Amino acid sequence: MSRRVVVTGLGVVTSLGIGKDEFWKNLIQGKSGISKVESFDVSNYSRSFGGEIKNFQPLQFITEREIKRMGRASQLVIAATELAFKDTKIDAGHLDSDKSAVIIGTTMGEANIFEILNKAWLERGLEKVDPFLVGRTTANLLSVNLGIHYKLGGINLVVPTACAAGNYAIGYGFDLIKEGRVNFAICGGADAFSRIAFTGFARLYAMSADICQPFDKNRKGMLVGEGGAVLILEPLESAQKRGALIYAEILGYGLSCDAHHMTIPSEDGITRCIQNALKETGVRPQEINYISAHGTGTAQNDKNECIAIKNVFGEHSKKVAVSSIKSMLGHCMGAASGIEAAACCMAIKEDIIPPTINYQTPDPDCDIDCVPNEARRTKVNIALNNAYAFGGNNSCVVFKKYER
Amino acid sequence: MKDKIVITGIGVLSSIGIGKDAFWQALEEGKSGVKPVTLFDTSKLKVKMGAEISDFNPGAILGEKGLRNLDRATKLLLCTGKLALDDARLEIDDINSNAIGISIGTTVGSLWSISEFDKSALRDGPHFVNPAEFPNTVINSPPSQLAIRLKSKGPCATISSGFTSSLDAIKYGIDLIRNRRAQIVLAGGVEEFCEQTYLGFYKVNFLAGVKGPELSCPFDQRRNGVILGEGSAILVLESEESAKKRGVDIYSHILGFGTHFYPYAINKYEPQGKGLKKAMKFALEDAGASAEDIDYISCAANSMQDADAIETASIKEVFGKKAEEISVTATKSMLGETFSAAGVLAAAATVGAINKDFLPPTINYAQKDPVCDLDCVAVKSRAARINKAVVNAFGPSGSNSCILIGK
Amino acid sequence: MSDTKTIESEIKEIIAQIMEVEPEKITPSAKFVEDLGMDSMMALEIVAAIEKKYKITIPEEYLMKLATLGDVVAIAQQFIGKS
Repeated sequence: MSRRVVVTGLGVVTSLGIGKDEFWKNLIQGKSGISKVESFDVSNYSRSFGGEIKNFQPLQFITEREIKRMGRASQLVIAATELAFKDTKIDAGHLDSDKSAVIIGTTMGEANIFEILNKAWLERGLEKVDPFLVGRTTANLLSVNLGIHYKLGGINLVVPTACAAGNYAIGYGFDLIKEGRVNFAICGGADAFSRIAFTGFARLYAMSADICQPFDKNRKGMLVGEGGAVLILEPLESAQKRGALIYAEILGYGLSCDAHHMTIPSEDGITRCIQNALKETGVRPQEINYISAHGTGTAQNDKNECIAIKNVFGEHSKKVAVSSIKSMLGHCMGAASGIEAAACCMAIKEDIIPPTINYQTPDPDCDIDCVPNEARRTKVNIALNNAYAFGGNNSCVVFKKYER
Repeated sequence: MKDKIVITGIGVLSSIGIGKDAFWQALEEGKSGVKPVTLFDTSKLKVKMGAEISDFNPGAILGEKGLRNLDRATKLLLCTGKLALDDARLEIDDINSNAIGISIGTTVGSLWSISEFDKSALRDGPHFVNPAEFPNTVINSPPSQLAIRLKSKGPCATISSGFTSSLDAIKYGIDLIRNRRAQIVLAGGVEEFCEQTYLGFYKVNFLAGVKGPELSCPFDQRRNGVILGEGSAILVLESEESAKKRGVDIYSHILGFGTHFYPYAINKYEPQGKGLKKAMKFALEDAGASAEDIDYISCAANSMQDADAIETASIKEVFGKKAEEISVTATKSMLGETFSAAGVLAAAATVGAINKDFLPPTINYAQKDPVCDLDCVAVKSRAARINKAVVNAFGPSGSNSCILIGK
Repeated sequence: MSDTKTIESEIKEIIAQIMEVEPEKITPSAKFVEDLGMDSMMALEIVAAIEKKYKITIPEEYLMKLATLGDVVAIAQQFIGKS
């Protein structure tokens, strides 16, 4: 069996807005979701900015009793799913558990709970730590909590492939629907703002002191963010039957591994990844209108990504629009590629490409069209979503406009 | 037509044996991997036992260079990967590298690393953490480090689904092959023995030795909790066609897979086994097999009161009358509860059973529980021809997966 | 108050350990990247270890300037002297 797969619902919880409408409105206005970090004390850090979501009210989506038993990342992904269900007008109670999938990506799982636990461990000793905390830290709980919240069974797992996790989740959901194993897939990613991630990136000198400037000559690094994003995937036939709004079709995806270094990317790995995506979907480089770049804003990533794009697109690399919404959100870790996938879907639906903000000085090493500072109205027929993770786990998902 | 998937190489690191041959031998002898914990201090706890891999010496398998910053889970996996590769007579080079993928199940893989990194930041200040330890804090670190060491450039995936992680990772690997994203996949799982997991299980009353004897005795009346273990295993998967082309021996076929998450509650087993029954049924359907075809079931039974009873009842319902004729073993009686690695370790054990014509025993079995009354191959292994076997993995919190392996 | 020779041998030991090469190979002028195969993560790790040992902070700009053992010792001394 080989069925066509479409995206019929979007749910996002981000520092640029909660729910796809607010998020998209702020995205195309080039707003910034970056602010001073408040969730922990940064006074003895050399950095102090990040993309925290300051207005997230979990009680709007989850009961108090449930909130007590789960970490922030689970809360973010459940909220995103609630929004996605509302968006596509589906009642979870009507889903067939035998033919459904919940696949969620993450980088740090429930890192917040770890952080509480570690602090208590150091201050009071492990024996005095709340017994239930450890049981709530495992990464698989993101999808488990989602399944329990909706009383939805079926295929249920977490793909913790760090900064590419959302794409991996969406890709696997695509496979499952295409081959007929499931008729409904909730796919996305979530990560809560993590002190551990913040510490690590700062220590690697990979973090900017204030703004994220992908592709800019003077870019100083990434910023840590947080978020939750969920895409609802269905077979085309079911979506048509129930008259669902179709954002985009997923044509396929490519994966590759650098097999090079845990943190230093390889342009060969990401070139092959894009090539794999194009090979699988039969899409030619000239047909692509938009690339949602991984674009973290680090010297290395942006340079390598541009080399890879040139390798694949040749002359056409000057004509394809490449923007990084991490310029506005920071790097939301496991949620990043999920949020970026949602942005691709919106770009296709609205024919508007979100900008790369904070762009001031061109870099000859990054001489692609990065849609600087202002969103652009233009037909978006096919979009690629790039995401490259620690460990050289690379992914690229291909989205296409669906027209009857 | 779906590609037939075969196993052409096996790498195992377990508390009862290092390497596939030692592992299979130990299973046949009914060896126990359980002993007093050495990796950390248990003096303040009521329990003292674990199934650690004693005298773990990664340098002996991998050479000494490049291991310095790697955590235990990563080193376990690298060793397993090397052993599996050698066993499959597979050499990775520039020509085949893009076609070789990795799919590993691990859930708490980097728990120790995450914890240590964060604690050092809290103790010494964020500027004085070791930057080289940061990459260990991401859950996909062990499989990615394996890819770096092997230079395998095909898709590299990590799956975290708790107790079913490694079986789910095997399924993901099978899908990579069938969807033509990889030709050969090193699929399996790893979980290291660490204080954080031990204490976590202790605190939610999962460990044996508090309410009863400190034993891993699945199906036995005295069972009162698990003995935590560690381990890693990798199965080299490819299509039958690919194996024939390479001219390598085939250990077994993977005939079917089934999975079903049943939403119930965190850290509590769903008493009716609804998810487990579905997982087994789906696996049989996927393989085009019936209960009659199955000779052996490698159980997930882990010495927890409810788990073992639930599995027994579920097997009886799914297999009907045939359940009385099928032998069912709990290898966790020997290996302890290895969490994410449990599924693949049980699968590797089952491949051994199929190839060496024996049924691994359920050791420490002394007192019968009428509720767990299937033939659990008590105490000693038995010779037997196994054509088709089922391997279960399930846990509290709702995950259930099942794989069908045949000659 | 450590003298240059002591600091040099201590730093040499740190580098040897991190890069997993014999200390003899780390001559004052041997190039880390070209001769000894250092990558950017190792460079960071070396600097972090030196900072921790001597309780100093070496600003990010200096990372580029650490091409040999001689460079590292000179820069470390600069900051050890300051503290």
